[in-house]
Amino acid sequence: MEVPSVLRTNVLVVGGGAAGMFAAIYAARHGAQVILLDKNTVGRGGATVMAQMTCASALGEIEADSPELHLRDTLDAGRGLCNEKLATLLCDGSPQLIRELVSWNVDWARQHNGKINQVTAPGHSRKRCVYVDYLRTGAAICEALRLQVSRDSGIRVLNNVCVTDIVTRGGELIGAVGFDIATSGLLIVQANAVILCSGGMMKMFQRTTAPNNNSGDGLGMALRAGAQLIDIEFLQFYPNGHLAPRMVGLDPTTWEPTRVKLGGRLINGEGEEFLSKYDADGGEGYTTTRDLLTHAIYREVAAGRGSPHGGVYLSFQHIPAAEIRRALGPVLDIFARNNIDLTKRPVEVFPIAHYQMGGIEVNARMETQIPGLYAAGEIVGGANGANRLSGNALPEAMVFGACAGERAGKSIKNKPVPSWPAHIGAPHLDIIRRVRERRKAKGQAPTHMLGELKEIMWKKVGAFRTADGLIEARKRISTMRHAELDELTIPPETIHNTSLVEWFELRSGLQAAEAVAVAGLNRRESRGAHQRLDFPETCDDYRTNQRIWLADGEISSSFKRCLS
Amino acid sequence: MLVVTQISNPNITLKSARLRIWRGTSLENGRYEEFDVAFEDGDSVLDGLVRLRYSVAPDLAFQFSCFNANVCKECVMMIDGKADYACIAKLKTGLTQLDPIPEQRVLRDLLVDTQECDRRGATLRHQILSIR
Repeated sequence: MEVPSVLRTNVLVVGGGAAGMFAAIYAARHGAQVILLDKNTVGRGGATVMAQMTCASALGEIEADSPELHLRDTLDAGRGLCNEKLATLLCDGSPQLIRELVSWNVDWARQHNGKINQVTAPGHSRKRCVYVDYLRTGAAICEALRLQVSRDSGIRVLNNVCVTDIVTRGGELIGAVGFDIATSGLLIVQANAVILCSGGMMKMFQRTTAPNNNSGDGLGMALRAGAQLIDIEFLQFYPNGHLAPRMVGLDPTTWEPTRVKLGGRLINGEGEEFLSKYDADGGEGYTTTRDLLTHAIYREVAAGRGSPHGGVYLSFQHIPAAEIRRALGPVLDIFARNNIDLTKRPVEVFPIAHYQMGGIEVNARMETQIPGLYAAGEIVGGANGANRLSGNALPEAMVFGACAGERAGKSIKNKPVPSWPAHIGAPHLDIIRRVRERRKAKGQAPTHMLGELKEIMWKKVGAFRTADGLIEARKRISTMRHAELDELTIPPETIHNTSLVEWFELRSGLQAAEAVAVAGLNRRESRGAHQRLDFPETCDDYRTNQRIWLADGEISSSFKRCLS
Repeated sequence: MLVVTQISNPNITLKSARLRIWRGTSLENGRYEEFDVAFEDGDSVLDGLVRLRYSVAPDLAFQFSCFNANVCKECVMMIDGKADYACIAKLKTGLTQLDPIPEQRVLRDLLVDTQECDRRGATLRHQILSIR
């Protein structure tokens, strides 16, 4: 029988985006030996690298600002559900990390006087968002972090590893198991601490901005290890997701900064501007926060006033061509390659699944309820409440990653790496063996189930929900989880078996998806990004937080106000 | 943007692309397989590959992450004999041949081993592609 590879380390970081890379750097800085791994390539494969434009930070370089003001804006956007301690941590911690990135050669865009340029974004009361340039902010941050990681002899980087389960003993974490994707070889990592930085679950929606790896792995692992999720029903749908014509080479979220920067107009299929019908502040909608925009666009399309592909138009035709060219520069060439000429024709946009506000519950030290298990980044719930401000995702990843790394590193002090009693990892490894060795006759493949799950989530657990839809979704997901997952066909390949990875994505993703359906059903109100067509009002009884956990393999929940 | 699993808009004219894809685990030991995939003008080669993975070829191996933005740089391959990013190259009617990039160890199908280059910090993909 194959013997698993065994690695031993102080801190295992699962996921190599901004959160994971900062966690690794800060853990190593505090003396820990670190393994940093990713399903793809550390520093390339997640959401951070795709981030465009906005990173919120109360630097006060352009106008007076403070972390307290940033916090106030964050709490307002969060519609009463923010974990105030986590939100404070995010706002307080962002400026220092922006400056640390300067020391790592991230070239934030600057004014002529040398000060870091800061722009406004919807929901922010001050000019607060920094950026590298129109396209490269995430890539630039990742490049700097990859370099720092590679220079640190305390950090060992592993690419193409799929972690499948956290392992505990007596309720305390002792490490994790998984497999090397290149060879399907079993892997044990014995560790004092694990930091889950594997991002959100937004891949599980048919229409999404999420990268291919963000399938909810860490959520499932945390649930199975006995940790809790908080407010997982709050998933953000980005209002101006690109819809048509087909555009490649730019992220589908490119229209938000473009619309805000240039003053694009949202127009329905009948040629009318419509935002003022839905937003009391209305104006031209540039300050309309994301949940209100999503609501407005859905409503117009549902009322039969949509564009040809089922969205609304975003038009820049009223803006002089010279101004468009000046503002967008080289991006216009990418538009041209995609047959998009903003001076002549509008594009079509429609909401698109984007980001996970809810997630694993942690305290202000990024600790879960499981001693030794931490979480950081998008996977964490609570900082942004019911709705996230534009620009808060990068600071969340960076600040929480640094915090988790520091805490984990400090907590290790002189503790030996746990050795595992014989066979303690066996049940978890056996699952990998069983799935890997399955030789079924032709049947459904994991991608077929993934396709169905993405469709269910998009149609029934999406931006606008009803009791009927959520109940149907939950029922179907539960059947997939309990009865059909184990019947999927896995081809007998050992080398880079994508179906094997996708099976494990489904194992966790189905749990996360069912959690969202249950949580959405339980919250009988509309608030922020969670919108119920059958309960359209915001209700004070629900100014409280919802926890989800697994009890005997079933999704359980309760409401309790988070004591911040 | 077309959803991955289906093309649902009845107003759009669909075309058909034939993809001739190298498959195998070593260059000495492989074969070409051909697949027809429906597409709308403007769809990328990566769109086509993902569509195949979600339908008739669920174990087709290729690397990608960001899907649309051309920023992760994972999807480089030989497209009709020329190195390019699958997310930018567009589908066309008729035949398009896809091969793994040359002079790297083939892992499976269109996936090559870039660990050596990643370890050295080299950007092989960027060196191959001097544009974009």
